[in-house]
This record gives sequence, structure tokens and C-alpha cells, in this order.
Amino acid sequence: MIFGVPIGEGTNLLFEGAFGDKVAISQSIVRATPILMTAIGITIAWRAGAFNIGGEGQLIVGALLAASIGKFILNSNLGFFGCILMMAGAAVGGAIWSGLAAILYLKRGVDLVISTILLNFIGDKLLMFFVEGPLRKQGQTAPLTDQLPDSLMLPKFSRQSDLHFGIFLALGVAIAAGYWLYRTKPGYFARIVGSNTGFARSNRIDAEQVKFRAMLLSGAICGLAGGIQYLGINGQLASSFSQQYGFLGIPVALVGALNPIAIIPSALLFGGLFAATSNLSRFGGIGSYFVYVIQAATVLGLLLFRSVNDRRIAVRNEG
Amino acid sequence: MISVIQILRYAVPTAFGAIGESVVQRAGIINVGLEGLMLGSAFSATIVSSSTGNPWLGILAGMVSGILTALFFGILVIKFSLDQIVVGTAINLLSLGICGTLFEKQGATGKLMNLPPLPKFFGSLDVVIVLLVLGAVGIGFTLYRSDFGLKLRAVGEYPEAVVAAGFNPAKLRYQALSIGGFLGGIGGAYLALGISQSFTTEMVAGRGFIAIALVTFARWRPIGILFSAMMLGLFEVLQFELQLNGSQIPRSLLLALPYVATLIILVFVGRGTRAPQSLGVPFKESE
Amino acid sequence: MLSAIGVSKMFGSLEALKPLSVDFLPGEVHAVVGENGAGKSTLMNVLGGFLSPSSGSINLNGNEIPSGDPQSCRSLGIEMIHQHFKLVPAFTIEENLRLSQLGVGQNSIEVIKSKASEFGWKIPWEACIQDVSVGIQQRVEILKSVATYPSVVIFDEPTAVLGIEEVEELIGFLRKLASDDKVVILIAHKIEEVLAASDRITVLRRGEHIGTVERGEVDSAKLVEMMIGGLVESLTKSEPDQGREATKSLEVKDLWVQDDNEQDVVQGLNFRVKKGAIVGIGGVDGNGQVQLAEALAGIRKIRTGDISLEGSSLDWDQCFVGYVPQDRQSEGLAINLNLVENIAVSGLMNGHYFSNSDQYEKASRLIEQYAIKAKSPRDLAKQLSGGNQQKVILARVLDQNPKVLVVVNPTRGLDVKAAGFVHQKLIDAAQSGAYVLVVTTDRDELYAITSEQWFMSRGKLFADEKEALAS
Repeated sequence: MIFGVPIGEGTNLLFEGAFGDKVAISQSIVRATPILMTAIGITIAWRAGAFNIGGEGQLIVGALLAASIGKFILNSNLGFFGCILMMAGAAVGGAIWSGLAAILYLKRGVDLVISTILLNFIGDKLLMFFVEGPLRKQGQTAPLTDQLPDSLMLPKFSRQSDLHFGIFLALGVAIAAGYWLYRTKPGYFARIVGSNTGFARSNRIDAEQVKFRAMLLSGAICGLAGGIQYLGINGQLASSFSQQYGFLGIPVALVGALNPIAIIPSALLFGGLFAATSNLSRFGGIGSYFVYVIQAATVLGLLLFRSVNDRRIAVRNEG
Repeated sequence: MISVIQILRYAVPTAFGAIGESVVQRAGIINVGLEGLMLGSAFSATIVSSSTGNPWLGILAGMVSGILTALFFGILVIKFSLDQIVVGTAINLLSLGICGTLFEKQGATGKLMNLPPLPKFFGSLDVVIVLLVLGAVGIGFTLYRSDFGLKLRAVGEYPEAVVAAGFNPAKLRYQALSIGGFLGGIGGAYLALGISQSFTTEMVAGRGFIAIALVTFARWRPIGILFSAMMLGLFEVLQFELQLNGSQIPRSLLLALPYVATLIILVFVGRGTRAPQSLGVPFKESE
Repeated sequence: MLSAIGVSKMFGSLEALKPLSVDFLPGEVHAVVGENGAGKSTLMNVLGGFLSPSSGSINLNGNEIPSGDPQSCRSLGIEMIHQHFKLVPAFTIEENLRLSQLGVGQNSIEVIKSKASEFGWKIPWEACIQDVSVGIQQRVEILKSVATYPSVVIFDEPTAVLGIEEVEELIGFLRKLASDDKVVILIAHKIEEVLAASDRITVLRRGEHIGTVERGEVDSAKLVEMMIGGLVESLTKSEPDQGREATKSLEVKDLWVQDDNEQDVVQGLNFRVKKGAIVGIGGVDGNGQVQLAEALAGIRKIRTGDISLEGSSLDWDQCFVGYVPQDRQSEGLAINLNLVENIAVSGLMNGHYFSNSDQYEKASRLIEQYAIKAKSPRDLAKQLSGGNQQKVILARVLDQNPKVLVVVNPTRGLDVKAAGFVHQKLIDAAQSGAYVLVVTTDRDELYAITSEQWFMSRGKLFADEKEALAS
């Protein structure tokens, strides 16, 4: 028993809740979409040696910028084009937020880990400000933005489920990121800078520029994640918009060993776990927090396994 | 009017966390899991104090929880040489998960909402605040004037010299982590028992990270850390005072103040600080 | 008297030391010599108690010393002066001494200070280690050890970081220690120094004890022969082109370069590299040579001055300058990536694509061409030996047919064969018309392959070595 949940029964329920039927699967995919994207965003930065922990803030500011655009085009007839415009805005918003941290690092040597984390909190309060103020729906007492009409949102698969086309975008970004990292020159340079700055320098690769660009790209992807969530599911922002999607991208990325292709199943796994937690509610109070425990344990377990394994190989090689 | 004691009170959690972290960092380890550590301590303090009715046992529980969390972190990054940032982040997640799950299981019984307060004297002064001031001085002295502090700082700068002198860097690092966990634990416990008298999963609200920023800003000097924490405590107090007096400034911006202020001081400090040379670098025994 | 009796050491299946027995007597300087990889450091670590022997034992005056326990060995009177100083750079000298004496008692600091005056050394006790010269750092390291009145002092490659005069002083100090009836063991690989300093010499080769001889019995050639088991081939030095191209050169005019702390470490340098010749820059490490090399390689900004190639200003974006950095593991290679990825980096300057198959082919070709011992191009760089790693760097750089080649300490840590390979490649490059600059702290190497030598001291160039040191 863990936390009052019998292990065998609990695992079955989780599996059922994640992949048991069509509804479950679609819920899993819906939950997996934002964390897949933020995990990719984080991976791009981390591989270049830039420890971006700010996925959360970048996602929020991305959604915020999209919603700001949304307010303007609310009653226009832009349709799908408007949707694309807002997604672009989301990417830009996220890039601005990560770019802010990147510039502070470049110009003033402010450590990225701390600055991006602080910007997470600031971004959250910024959302609160806008949702309670300038972007608040007219005549509303509750802090919510205007609800986007269906025409401006991402198309859904069917009326009954939440499943939306954002998943294709997320998958596309993941595959593109994999290609970028392993088959293009900028991705290769990013990997070099991330694994060995001395080597980069000896070959006249400007490590700081590479990190800066990686941060911008990373922020853009995390911002886009926010945009997709906004345009695919919510259509409306409240101050509780983000459910830690930005932060959760980190364990998803780590379990995927910072490899974009491996991150896809990792995201699906955890998306499924989140979707399935409602099945455990009969055990009283087991909610998403429980999945955090599973995630953290998985990450640590995998890291330990890899470390012990590496040591075994090293000893074998030396001897 | 705002009193010094009030400011000190709000500074306690961040200050204890930061002073603890300064000891840990001087030994060469960066613990970004401080946030999760403080949350765990706050939760332990909450559970123990509400079930026993005794706030002191709550503080003690916070200390123990802090030490255990720190040692757990220590085993992963010292014995297994896992990446410190990654493990710290995982611990934040783990702590949030465990505390959140256990908290939800308790249900909002209301019992956790009204924790037994710490006894005060001279108005709003309590023992922990006094401990903070004494602790800042004491830790400062220990780090920079004692033999133990010399060994600890040597581990953070150049562990090979410590080995050559016949001491064990790993053991010293565990000791540093225990101190850091102990202090951070008091900070977390006080957050629940001395400031909010309750528990929510968001209560640490980034103080652990702000604490880490303060360590760099105050150049790893506990007294400087105390004063910087007080500066931020001032912002927190201001926040409440302004809200109470029905200020026009939106709540969200006031809430953002401490984070923005921290960011600004980091920008101000820039690259100038000299961190312990081996900070973040795992020490490989086979040299 | 310290004795090694039947001592051998295995690391897994690797036999680092075959069983050997040697006596180290008090009152003499006993040198242990051999090529890189001969087993000197293994033996030294066993003698000092840092490693336990796989067989045999170490005896001090007839009593076996506890193995794998350096602290006990220290208390028995065996002290080691490490090549890489165990000094905390950010601490002052006094703090470093305090740290090292923590188990022993504070009044030993006074003992140390009086010993320093006894040796005639002036030490700035309040200065930080990172701010003092390497020579002084070494003296601090030595002082740490002598405070405990040891009976055995082991010196691990002490001259690697010293200039000529400092080496002479050190040798004098070694002899003084020996005359105090101590056992002095010197681990070294520079023949001249060994001959100047020691009374007896033990030679190791590939882990095997070749012999122990009296100083009077051998000369330089005999020692070398014992060390490498054969004679050294001398390389034909490369000479400047005498023909049409004689006027072409790489010119450096009034060059000023700063280091990372914004100090001027290259001060108004002027020199010229003629086409086809190899120019060498020697001198004690830390006098600006590395920064000079980095500036020429285009990876460090020039404060002021001019670098021109065949008349026009050197443009690193247009003209590839081959650079072999001094630290192959942290600067020359991406140690965690594989060979394909390590080799791909040069030659990728144009274009956006990173074609895996093209790069793989290139890597395979170079592995064969340079006889690099690796199972496949997908091997990780860290799996290769030092010599092969250096070959990878050379291969990558030379494959670009660079017009300019700047190398720093190209054969550090390599055995004779690998070093010879590298030297030949450098000479070949020069003969094909490249401008080659070799920056090295190894005087043997400097004189072996360069046709023109300069010595750097405090940012300035000197043609005469002694003059450089005197400045």
C-alpha cells in the first residue's frame, strides 16, 4: 500500500484510466499535449547547456499574449487565420519571457536557473493582473477573459471529446526538434556547447550566442504550448490557467533522456497518469499530487539506474 | 506602523533557508531543492503540532524533516554523483507530491487551519526570531573563523587539498547539508507556525529560490543574508499594510514585488561575485 | 630506509607495475625515471601509501607501512610533494598551512615559518595562492610537508612547472634535504635534470623495472636507451623555403592581448613566421603563451596590434587557422560525443546541414589515415587513449589543409612513439607550405622540431632563454 492505495489494484485502475477506452485515451492525449511541448522546449535549452526552468512562466506569458490578441480579434471573422495569429503570438510571448532571462544572463551574468524560476512567479502574477484587469471580460465579476468563439479555436476531433488538433502540432514540434538537434548544424553546435564549452570555444563557436538562441527557441516552444492549451481547450484564461504544465515538462524531458523522440512516449505516459487519477479518487484525496510523486520517483530512479550502469561500464573498460 | 520585529518575523523563513544554503554552498553543493525541503518541513510541523497541540514539537518536526530531506539529497548527489540541479528539481516535485497527497487525504478538516501559535514575549517577539539573529552571527563565526569552517570552505573550493590534509570531503559535505537542512527546516516550520498558522501547498511561494538568490547577493555571508532577507521581509510587510489600507495598487502587482525585487538585486550584483570554486562540481574520489 | 619488496600493481586486467624490489637509502637523491605511462606515478602512489600494492609490500626501516592509508604514512614520516599542488587557490598561504596542519597542532605554523627562513625563502604569508607564482606555490607545498620532520620525501615531477633558474634552486634544495640524512625520491622524466640531481637512478619501462644504476655509471644516451629500449630517431627539421616563397610570411606586429582578468599578458609582440619553417615559443608556463596562441587562432580578442598573412590582415572567417589547444580533454575534444561528431566540427563552417553519412565517411577515412586506434567512428572520444585523442585532434585540423597552424604543447602526456608521429605531421605540414607556430613548455620538443626559437616572459619575447628568465 502506498498512501492508502493498494498497489496492484491501484496500478490496474491507473492503466484503465489512462488507456482503457476511447475516452480515456483521448483524455490522456489531451493531458499529454502541453507537457510534451514544454518538455521539448526545455530539452532544446538544456541540451545547449542553458538550464531553463522557466517553462511555466513562458507558457503563461505565451497564453497571455495570445489572449491579448484574442481580445482584439474577438468579433472579427478571421477564423482559422486568427487562430494561427494567436499561436504565433503565444510563441513570441514565450520567447520574450525566456529572452528576458537570457539577456540578463548574457549581459549581467545572472544565473539562468534562478532568473527563470523567479520569472515563473512573476509571470503568474502578471497573468493575475491581466485577468483581473485589462483583459477581464466586460461586466464580469469573476476574473476571466473573454471566451473565444469556436471559430477562433483549434479544431476538435469530435464534439464529445476534448481531443483537439493541438496534438498534431505538438508531435510535429517534437519531431522537428529531434531533427534540429541531430541533423542540423545549429542543433549540432547546441549539443557541443552543452557538452563542452572549451571545445566550442576552440572551434570559434560563440557559446553565449548559441545558448541565447537556444533560450529563445525554448521559450517560443513553451509559449506555444500555452497557446495550444488556450486555443485547444480553455478558450478563456483564468489565473489558474496553468496546472504546472511548464514545470512538469522537466520530469517528462528527463525521463525521455533529453531526446525529443523519446520524450513523446514519456509525455504520453505521464499524460495518461494524470488523466487516470480520477479513477483513484475513491481512495480519498488521491489526485494529481500523487502523480507528481510517481514522476519524481521515476526521474530519480532512472537517473540512479543510468549512473550505476555508467559506472559499471567504466569499471569494465578500465579493467 | 511597521516594526523591526514584524519585518524580522517575515524574514525568518527565507533567512533561515538562505543561511542554511550558504553553508551548503560553501561546501560546494547547490541545493535548488530548498523549496521542497521547506515545504516538507512546513507540512511536518503542521501535522505534528496540530496532533500534539504543541508548537515546539512542530518546530522540532520541521528540523528533523529538513535534515532528512537534505541527507536524501546528499546521498543522491554525493554518493551517486547525480546532477545537483536535476536532483534538486526532482526533490521539489517529490516534496510537492507527497505533501499535497497527504494534505488532501486529511481533507479540509479545518484542524490544519488553526495551528497552535508560538508563545510570544515583548509584544510580537518569539524565540525563533531571536534564534535567527543569534544563528546568523553564530554561523558566520563558524564558517569564517573556526577550524570546521575552514575545512568546509576548502571542500567548496578545492576538495583535493582537503583530502591531502587527511579529511573526508564527502563527510564534510554531509555535515554541511545537515546544517542546511536543519536551518531550512526551522524556516519551513516557522512559515506554518509563526506566520500563517496554517498550511497550503503553495505556501512556500518561491522563498526557497529567493533564498538561493540571496546567498549569491550577500556573498555567502550570513549577516549580510539576514539583512537582505529583512529587506525582502519589508516588502512582504508593505504588501499587507497596503492591502489592509485599501490601496489602489492591484493585489497581483503587490504579490509580485518580492520576486521582482529579487530579480533586480541579482541584476545589480551581476557577475561580480566569486562563488566557491567547486560549487556544483561533484568530487570524484578516484584521483 | 624505504624498501619496495616484490611490489606489483594491477588495475583490473592492466598490469601497471610488474613485481619489483628497490631500496631507497637515506642521504641520497634517488630518481625514478621512465616515459609517460611507464608506471612511475603508480610506484610513487604505492610508496606514499595512496595505493595498496596488488602484491608485495613497502617497508620503512623494516616495518611494513599500512597500505591505502596516506594519513598513517604521513605520521610515519613519509611525505609526498604532489605535481598538482593540493593548495586551495582562493585561500591565503597561511590559511592553506592552517588547513594542512589541522590534525597536527597550531604551533607547527611557527615551525614552518622558521623552516622557511632556514631555507632562505621569502614567502608572502598573507597572499592568496592564486596570486603568487608557481615557484612560490611549490615552496608552500614543500613547507607543508617538512614541518612534520619527515624521514622520506617524495617529489612528483617537481620541475614540470619551473623555469631554468628555479630548477637549479630546486635541485640544490633536493641535495640539501639528502644531506640532512633523509630519503629523497625524485620522480621525473627529464634526463638532464635527473643526471644533475640524483645519486642513484631507477629506470622503469612499461611497468617493468629495467634496472637501478649509480649516477656515475650512466650518461644521457644510456639512460634514454634504458627508458625507451632503443635509440631515438632524429627528425629532419623543417627549414624555411629558400625559393620564390621566401618573402611570404605570417607577421605579428605590436600585438597586445589581455587575459580573462583584463590584464595585458601579451605586450607589444613582434615576430614573423616564414613559410615552410616552424617557429617555436617556449618559456615558463603562464607568461602569456597560451593567450598568444588563442589570439592567433582567432578565439581571443586582440586588444591592439596587427596579424597579417602574406600581406593582408588575417581574417579567421575566410582563412581557416588550425588550432590544437593545450588541454585535449576539455578544449580539444567534446569528450562525451563520438568521433564522428568530434571530427565534423571543422569544415562545417559553411552550410546548414549535418549529413550523418558524409561525416561518418570522413571520420572513417581519417581514422585509417592517422592510424587511430578505435573500434569504430562511433566510439566516444573519452574511450580513446591520450595519444589517439591527440591524433583525432590533429586529423581533424590537418584535414582542412590549414594555411596557418597553431599548436600548444602538442605532445604533452604522450609516449615517444605518439610524440614522434605528431612531430612528423607538424613537419610535413610546414613542408607543404603551412605557417606553423608551436607553443610549448617542453624544451626538448622546442629544440627538436623548430627552426627558430623565442622565449616568452611576462608578455614579451626574448631570443635568449636565460635573458627571458632574468626579466
